[in-house]
Amino acid sequence: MKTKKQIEEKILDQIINAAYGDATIMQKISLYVKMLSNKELKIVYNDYKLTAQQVHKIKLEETELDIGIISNTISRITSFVFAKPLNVSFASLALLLAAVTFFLMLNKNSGVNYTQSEMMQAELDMKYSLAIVGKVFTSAENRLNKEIIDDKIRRPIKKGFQTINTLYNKKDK
Amino acid sequence: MLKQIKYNSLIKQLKNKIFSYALFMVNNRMDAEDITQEVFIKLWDNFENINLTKAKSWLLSSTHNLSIDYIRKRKNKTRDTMDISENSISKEQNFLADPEISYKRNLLKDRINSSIKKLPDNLKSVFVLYEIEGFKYKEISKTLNVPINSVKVYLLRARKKLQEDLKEFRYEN
Repeated sequence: MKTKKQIEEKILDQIINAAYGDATIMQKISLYVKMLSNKELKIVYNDYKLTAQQVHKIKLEETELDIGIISNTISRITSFVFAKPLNVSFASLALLLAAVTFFLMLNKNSGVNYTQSEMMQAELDMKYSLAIVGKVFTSAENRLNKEIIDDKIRRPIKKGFQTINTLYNKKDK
Repeated sequence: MLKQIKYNSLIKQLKNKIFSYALFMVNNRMDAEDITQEVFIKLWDNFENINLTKAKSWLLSSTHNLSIDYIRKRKNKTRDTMDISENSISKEQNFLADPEISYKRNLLKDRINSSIKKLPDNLKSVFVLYEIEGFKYKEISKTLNVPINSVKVYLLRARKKLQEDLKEFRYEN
């Protein structure tokens, strides 16, 4: 390393920075000019550059340590779900189907046993309700037949025909 | 559950950085795994108090402190160690046609790794964080709690020392 000792500290720093890719453009140009006139500088620069290249090739070591299967699974699912819009829609659809199935199952299984008296009471209530509905229907039919059809339709038509007949009779006379 | 997802994604993103840094610092795979695990646990315990945007600095800072603790505790450095370069070289495919050059390159890489490990702790941390982990001056300054200018000086010194250590290995290309 005799050559290096001859090189000024400042220039050596410049060489190191340039070799490792940290120097500014101005520093690089200045160094390049210096290297044109001094071959020793060029050798030192190449030496540093080779080391720098090898240093930059060093890859990160991979660890096999895992932080837990559950959290990994959750992460994998979430990363898959949110990876693409299509996945999101599929996930939503699956969630919706699961929810519907769940509620259907819940309703199917929620059968309540009633007593005989309760069932009879329910039948009576139903009959009473139907009777009320039937009464309403009958009343509505009567009103339609008597009030609406007679008063609003049949009578005006009859009156109209009578008027026409009267007019015809007058004309004949 | 959200905490778990956030935690998991953060760890997934940074676990290799943490492990690599610890491995360079303590020079022992088992200890590096222990440190990484301890950092994971520490992060989980303090997850609510940590600003996620500053988590990277916090994690590396914790890794650094734990690594220093491990180094201090472990006086006997002649324990069974696994060299980081062994793995990286065996993993790397040989693309070079000339076996001699490829052998020399691999040997250089091996030497670079061992030279990095031989650097003093302060220089080594800055060098590894900057050159291998890809941290910026500002981030290193925050992580190690040293001024930016000191980071620059340490980096330069580390590079010089590294080159000095490799001088016997130097070959003309």
